[in-house]
Amino acid sequence: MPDQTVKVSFTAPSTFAFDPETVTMTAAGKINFHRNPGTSTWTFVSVNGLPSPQFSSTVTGNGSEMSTSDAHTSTGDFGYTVTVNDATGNHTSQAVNITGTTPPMIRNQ
Amino acid sequence: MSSTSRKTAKTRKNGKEQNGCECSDDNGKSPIVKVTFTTPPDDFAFSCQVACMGAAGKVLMHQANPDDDWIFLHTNGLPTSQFSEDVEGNGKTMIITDKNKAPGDFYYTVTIRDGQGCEHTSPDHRIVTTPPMIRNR
Repeated sequence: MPDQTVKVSFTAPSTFAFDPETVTMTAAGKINFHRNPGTSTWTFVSVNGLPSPQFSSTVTGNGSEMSTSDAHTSTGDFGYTVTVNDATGNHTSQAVNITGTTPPMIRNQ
Repeated sequence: MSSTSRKTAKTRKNGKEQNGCECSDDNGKSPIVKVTFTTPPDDFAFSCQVACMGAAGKVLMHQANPDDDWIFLHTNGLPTSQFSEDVEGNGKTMIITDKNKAPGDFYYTVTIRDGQGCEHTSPDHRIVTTPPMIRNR
């Protein structure tokens, strides 16, 4: 399938935004992460949390771009975080797995 | 009105509708959860998403379609300190006994055995993945 693009914006110290927030893959392919805006001076360090060997990532252009290859060997939702670097150091977006009690359940009142 | 009739009327009055089920109240009415299982893919549905209990009592789990050839085996995730279960009717019904020793939400999954002898467990939804994410379909 065609390469997908995720635009990543970062505002120090900890504000991240991803466009789109969910990338849908129906076959093996590549997801390219771009800085938004493109004139940003921070650099990509890594994408975290994606299971190996289904996913593998590389940073190119001295950190201006990052890409993740998805072998699409299993289906499901794969949350990730992104680490970037600016003049003050590394910054990582928030974790994306929430653990809670969901239905079906028994509610004792 | 007899004492029994008054109690029944009170039960109905106090029963609360929530998430597709009539909830227990302090008169001990038992919520009924009708379970649907279809394969493939393994797909479970629960008619009562939240079985609320106002006091100690029982939650009755029935097959939504009694003609299905799968049977209940057990639940998973409920703390044994206050929940126990019995499978009855040759696997057609499962009864969860709740001592209601502590308030709170108690998550569970259900394991069944299909007509071919294979076991299936309803999905674990406790871990929810939120964006950003890659969704493989």
